[in-house]
Amino acid sequence: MSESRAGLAAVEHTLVDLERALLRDASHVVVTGRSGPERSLLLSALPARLAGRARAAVIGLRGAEGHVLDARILRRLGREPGGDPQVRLLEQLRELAADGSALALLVEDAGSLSPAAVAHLGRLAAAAGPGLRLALFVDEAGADPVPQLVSRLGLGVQKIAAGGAAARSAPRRGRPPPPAGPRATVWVERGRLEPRGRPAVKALLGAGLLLLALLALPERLEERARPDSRRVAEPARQASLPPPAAAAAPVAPEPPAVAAAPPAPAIAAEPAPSPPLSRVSVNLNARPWARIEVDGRELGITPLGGIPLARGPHLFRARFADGRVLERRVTVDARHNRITFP
Amino acid sequence: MLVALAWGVAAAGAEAEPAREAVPSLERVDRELAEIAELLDAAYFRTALSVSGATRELLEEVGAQPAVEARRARLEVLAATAELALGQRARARGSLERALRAEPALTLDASRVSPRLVELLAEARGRLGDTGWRP
Repeated sequence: MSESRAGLAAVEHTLVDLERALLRDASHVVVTGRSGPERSLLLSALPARLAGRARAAVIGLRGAEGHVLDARILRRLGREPGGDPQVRLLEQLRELAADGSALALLVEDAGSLSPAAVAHLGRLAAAAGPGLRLALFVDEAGADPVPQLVSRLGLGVQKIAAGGAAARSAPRRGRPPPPAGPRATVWVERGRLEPRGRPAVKALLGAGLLLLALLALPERLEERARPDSRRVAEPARQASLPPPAAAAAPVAPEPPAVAAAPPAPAIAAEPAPSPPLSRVSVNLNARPWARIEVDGRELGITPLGGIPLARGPHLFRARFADGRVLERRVTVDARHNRITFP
Repeated sequence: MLVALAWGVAAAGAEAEPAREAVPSLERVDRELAEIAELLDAAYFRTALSVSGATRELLEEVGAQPAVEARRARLEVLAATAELALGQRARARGSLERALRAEPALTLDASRVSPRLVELLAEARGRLGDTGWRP
């Protein structure tokens, strides 16, 4: 499990980089890494991370060329690709841009795209303006395909370093300096995705935790995935908050209906209300299941997610079906918001 | 003629895309299912739900195989667990209905699985029966 957490921490770092590049910098991104659970997790979590500010679609481009690619993206947007798909897609992308949104196209396995498909994506991105942002995922195995990919896209290269904005303008050794303007390609290397259990992951975990501490970034992946989690204003006075026990109820909304088919994962996940920053949304689970109490008040049977609690110490108690009772005192905050038993 | 043919084959090979996984393997699906279970154990419910969505697509790519349906049922139960945790009861029931369609004899171990999920599975089975669905 610790290795899994290391993998999650690595994914979290990459998510932060991607979010900044795609939303704040309005850039295109090439992500180098290896395929595996972390990359799958990254591709799954990124749409939720961008939700509310950009639409996101994961596209597997197996064999897709030109108009096939355009039609596939259109279908992801819920549009029928009648007529000239490229024209229709460009119209859609401009509409999205006019709404202050954009489409972040997350291209899985971009290293195996044909040169023609990559060139098409580059032309599309250039023609769509801010309506389209590309995040292309490339496996590291074998020869480094990224320079070829970037040159085929016809877009510049910029590197994000661990230091943040100060290091952002530093060009990669032996590569052309980054072009000015927001449409540069960002080449993410810090959040390299390695198979779990490798020494690189463990080193990354140490560096990542230090960086998180320095930047005071919320560590919890799911909290950051919520679209409005950064928009909630901090209440002026902590003293005005209700006591923790008064807030022991799940807040995630019930969706309106059961869909016959599962919701498309590529489009942004359902928005969930975030508690004020003075509160923390806590998830609880137990194996096997248990009844959970917080500060003497029963919450219910696990699994329990999105329980808003005030920051600070709480006593969690799990009553198992076999009569065992486990207690855990946890000071909950943005980093300590998942409680598991045993 | 042979030289020209060989040249053509070589040129076609040079243009061909690098080798890739034509159809995702069941091993890859199993890895993702294990990952989702780990995420649930660690109470990463929303992330588990996101990964479930990707795994669902992966299963579609794998296509119809006898071994797929059991995995589909497991995936839907995992997704339902995350949805239930997040208060999305109706969605969780929908996931369990899909699980039952994939594996009509599906049961959950009441000693290990949350009674809330067991109860919802019974409800899902009843709803499927009401619609006239038969395995």
